[in-house]
Amino acid sequence: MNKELFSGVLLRFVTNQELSISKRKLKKLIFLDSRNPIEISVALENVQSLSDYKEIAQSTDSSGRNFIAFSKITVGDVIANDGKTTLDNDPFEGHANILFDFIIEDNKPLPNALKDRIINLQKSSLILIDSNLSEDEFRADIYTVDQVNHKKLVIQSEYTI
Amino acid sequence: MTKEYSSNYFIETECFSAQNRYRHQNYVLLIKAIRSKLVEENRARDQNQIKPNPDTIKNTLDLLFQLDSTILNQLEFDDISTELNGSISVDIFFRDLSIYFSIGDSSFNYFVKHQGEIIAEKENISFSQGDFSQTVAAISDFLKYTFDHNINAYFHKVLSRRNTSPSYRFLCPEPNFEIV
Repeated sequence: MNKELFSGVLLRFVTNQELSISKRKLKKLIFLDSRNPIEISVALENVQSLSDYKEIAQSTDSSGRNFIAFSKITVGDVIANDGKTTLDNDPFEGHANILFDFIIEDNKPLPNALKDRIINLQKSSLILIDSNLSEDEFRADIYTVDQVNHKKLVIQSEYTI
Repeated sequence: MTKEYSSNYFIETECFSAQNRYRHQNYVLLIKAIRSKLVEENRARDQNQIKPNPDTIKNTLDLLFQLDSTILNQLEFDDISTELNGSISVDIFFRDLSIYFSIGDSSFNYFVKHQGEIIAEKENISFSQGDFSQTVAAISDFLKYTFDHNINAYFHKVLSRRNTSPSYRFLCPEPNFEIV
């Protein structure tokens, strides 16, 4: 049985379909997945290094997407938005899922409550944009998400890692 | 089962043809925005992404052009998104107001937030119902009122400073300015 998490930091892999580096904008809701009920793949931060997760994000990419960033939130943010987080370590060590009790259908509008929660999660997150795409080591500029427009990123240069 | 559409289908579909009701100052910009997003989705070849179907695109245009121009004028290119399940999000931001539309192939949902609180919402508004235009007109009027209310609140704040701060003239240079 998967273990439910009540604390910790989670990473969501972000691709260039979801983020425009040149515009510093998120192009779509990043905490959305097509599995039902909604399950959103994330990784537990302290299990593997960011460079290890970067390697996983690039190697497991099955649909030609380019991994370019991590979104970072806390398990507390998930709980505050009526979600829960379970650790399953599958397909890699540290893999977890954020669960929301909602169903979405192809080509149907998103439920308001789900969209609101996902937007709140997005606003809670830090976005770590890879400044070093061709290297194995993960180095990033860190951004917060604008508290009005959930697509706009605001640089937090002092946190650059 | 999800029906597959080619990119040509999108271009040929009626929502891209010239029609009188779309002779609007924002029509060309909006069509370009949606078409460029579809091209981007096509190029991405993302297996997890459902492409919006023509009905969803047509519904998006129908909805947006029913809105008052004061609302539509706030819309920016990046406010339109195609979500993973093929729905289209149109999120409009104006001062401390946020309006979130989620549009599908037969219905749409929306909610409005003011300073973080949801002040209006509705789900499953059908595009096929006869009263669709009236429903959207009512939403549009509500949003327009809320916009105006917001602007008025802003000007009230400026005017309330008139007696206490000489700097109000920089914010509101018209000496005879009054709220009507």
